[in-house]
Order: sequence, then C-alpha cells, then structure tokens
Amino acid sequence: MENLTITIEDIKSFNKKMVTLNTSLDLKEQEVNELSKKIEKEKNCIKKLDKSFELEKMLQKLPCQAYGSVTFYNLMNEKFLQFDPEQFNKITRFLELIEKTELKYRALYLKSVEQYTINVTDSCFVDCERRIRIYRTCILLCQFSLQKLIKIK
Amino acid sequence: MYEELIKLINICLADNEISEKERTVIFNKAKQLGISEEECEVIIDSMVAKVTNKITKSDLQTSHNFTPKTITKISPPELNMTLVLEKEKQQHIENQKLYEIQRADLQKDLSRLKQEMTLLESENADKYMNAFCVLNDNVLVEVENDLTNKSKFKVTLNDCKLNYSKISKLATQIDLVNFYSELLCNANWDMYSYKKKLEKSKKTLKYLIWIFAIFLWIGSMNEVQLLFSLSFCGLSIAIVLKLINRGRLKSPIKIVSSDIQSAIIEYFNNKFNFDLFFELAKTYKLAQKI
Repeated sequence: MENLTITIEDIKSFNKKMVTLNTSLDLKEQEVNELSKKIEKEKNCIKKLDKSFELEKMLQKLPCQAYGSVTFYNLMNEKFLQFDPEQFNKITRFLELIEKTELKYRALYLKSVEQYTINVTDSCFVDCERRIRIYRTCILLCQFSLQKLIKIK
Repeated sequence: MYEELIKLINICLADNEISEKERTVIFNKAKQLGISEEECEVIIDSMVAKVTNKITKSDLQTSHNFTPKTITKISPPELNMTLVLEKEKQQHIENQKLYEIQRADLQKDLSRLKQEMTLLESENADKYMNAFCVLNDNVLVEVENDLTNKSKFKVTLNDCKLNYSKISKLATQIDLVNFYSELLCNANWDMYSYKKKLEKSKKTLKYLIWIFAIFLWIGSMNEVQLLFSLSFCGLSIAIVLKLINRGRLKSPIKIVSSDIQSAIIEYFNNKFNFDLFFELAKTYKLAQKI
C-alpha cells in the first residue's frame, strides 16, 4: 500500500510537470501564431504600397482632364457653312457625347487620385483607363469624319 | 440691247423683289428692244434667283452667331507621394523583419520545449506506464472487492485495460477520478454470481417443495414431526422469496453506481461527484449493459 501511495504521488507530480510543459508549449504556439498573423498583415501592407506605386505611375501617364470636344466645337462652328444642317446636327450630338465622356473621365481621375493611397482595389482605376480609351477612340472618329466632310465640301 | 434691259431689271430689284407693275414695265421695254417675252422671263428669273441666294447666305451667316468655347486648363493634382509611400513601405519591411526574428526565437523555444517533453517522456515512459498499469489493476480490484462485499454477489470488470500509446497523453489528459469513472462506465459488467444465486434459489425452492410433498405422502408421521416439517418448509420459502425480492425490488444501476462511487472515493480519498457519475452512467448506457 505504501508503494502504491508513492506511485500515485509520482504520477501526480509527473502530471504536473507535463501540464506545465504543455501549457508553456500552448502559450508559445499561440505567440507564434500571433506573430505569423502580424507578418502576414505587414506583407499585405507592403503589397498594397507596391500597388499604390504602380497606380501612381499610371496616373502620371494619364491626362488630368480631356478637352478635345471644345476644339472640335469651335472648329465646326467656324466652318458652319461648309456643312449640311443635318450633318452639323449629327456631329454636334456626337460632340455632346464626347463632352459627357470628358466630364466622367475627369470625375474618375479625381477619384483615382484620391483613392490610390487609400483603397488600391477600388474599381475607379480600371474605369478611368477604360474611359480614356473610349474618349480617345471617339476623338479619332470625330477628327476623321470632320476631315472627310470639310474636304468633300 | 440686253444691257439696257438688265439695268432696268436691276433698278426694279432694288427692293429685292419685282412687283407686277415693274414686270409689265420690263416686258414693254423688252418688246421695244426686240427681245421675246420668253427670253425676258428667263433673264428676270435668273436675276431674281441670284438676289435671293445672296440674301439666304448672308442671313445664315448673321443667324449663326456663336460664342466660341474656351478651355479652362486645370493644373494636375500632386501625385508625388513616392517618398511618403517609400518611407511607409520601409517601416513595414522593418516591422516584418522584426516579427520574423521574434518568431524564429519563439520557434527555437518551442522546439526546445518539445525536445524536453520528448526526453521526459522517453525517460519516464516505462516507469510511469507500469505505475499506471499497477494503479489501474489496483483500482479495478478494489472496486470489484468493494462491490462484491456490499452487494453480496461477485462482480467482474472486463475491458478496463489502459490503452494509451503515449504516456504524456495519459498523464496530461486525465483527472484520475473522472478518468476511472469513465473507464468503469465503459467497462463490460458481469455479475454472474447474482444471476446464479437467483437460479440456485429457485432450484432450492423446488427441492423444498418436493421434500414437503414426500413428508405428507409418507403420512405415518406424528404431530411433532408434521409441525417440524411444516415450519422448516415455511422458513425455506420465506428465505427464497426474500432473495428473489431483493433482486427485483432494488434497481441494479443504483446499487452499482453508488457502490462504485464509494469505492473510488475510498481509494483516492477524494471528493467524487455522484451526479456526474450517474449522468455518465446513463450516457454510456450502463443500465443496458447490466
């Protein structure tokens, strides 16, 4: 019976040792997990900053405003007599569309400038690029048609 | 010849139109000059058309007065955030490095602790596994003895062997009292003596009835013998009935649960939650096993 009592006491002390070791292991593992999370967070921040750099470069290449429609409008009105009234009206409507595109582009550009350091995943950057592409195509079309019309006349 | 006529028409067109009176005058003049009426008509029409055309063009030019649009150039917004962003990025990189160093240190500690644990385990594995086995055997023997003493029938606990591959798992997981409660609940119970005694009592009752019948059949016995045999049979029946009733009236689960509780408390000299144990017993369907 005495031996058995000693054994139980031994087991209890062994248990205590193991529990202490396990607790410290758990704590350390918890700390490691927390640090891993922090590292992941820092990595994400760095990625976000890299993206900001890219966006800044892109925005620097883009014009801050578009005003091609104004030039065309003035040119068309100066040479008003060279157009048929119907043609003139059609091109005027097209110029109105370009003007709207210019306004939208300006708004998107300003939003992009505001957002590129805050929210790099915003859709405004893509929209901005898309809008300027559309604008450029429209301007080319307008230029081409005006050249044709004036020459014919 | 024509010049005179054209001059006249021009005079008439001074107000940009030719009235009927003017037209008659022009025709009369044409007759005088020897120009036919049709020829005169053509000249008049062409000259009127010229005048009208001039008027429409000049009209259009005057009606399309437009104010040319002006471009208001906006200075581009400042985009030179590179320096600020670069600083911020540098800060994050430094933080990341710092955290990685801290994590590496912690991982070293962690592996050291794990090694320590493995070492402790390997050093003590045999010793403590044996100790647990001895303890386990002793507990089971004690519980069996205690139940047998209290319930007056033999109880055996089967399948109560320790089945742990790692000593650390066993050592850290268990609270001894709860551990044994669960172990005993899961065990296969066999109370064969209880059933055997019940069967034996029934058999004894049969024999006693037969003996009583033989006594009656003999018929030659005196009053004293008859009285003795009747009292003997009555006593035997009472004993057998009591045995049967004991088994029937008391719920075996209550007997066993309470007895295990007291056995374990006695063994570990520890407080034991009987309600918890009873719940465990229900959960593990001890009643069905019994």
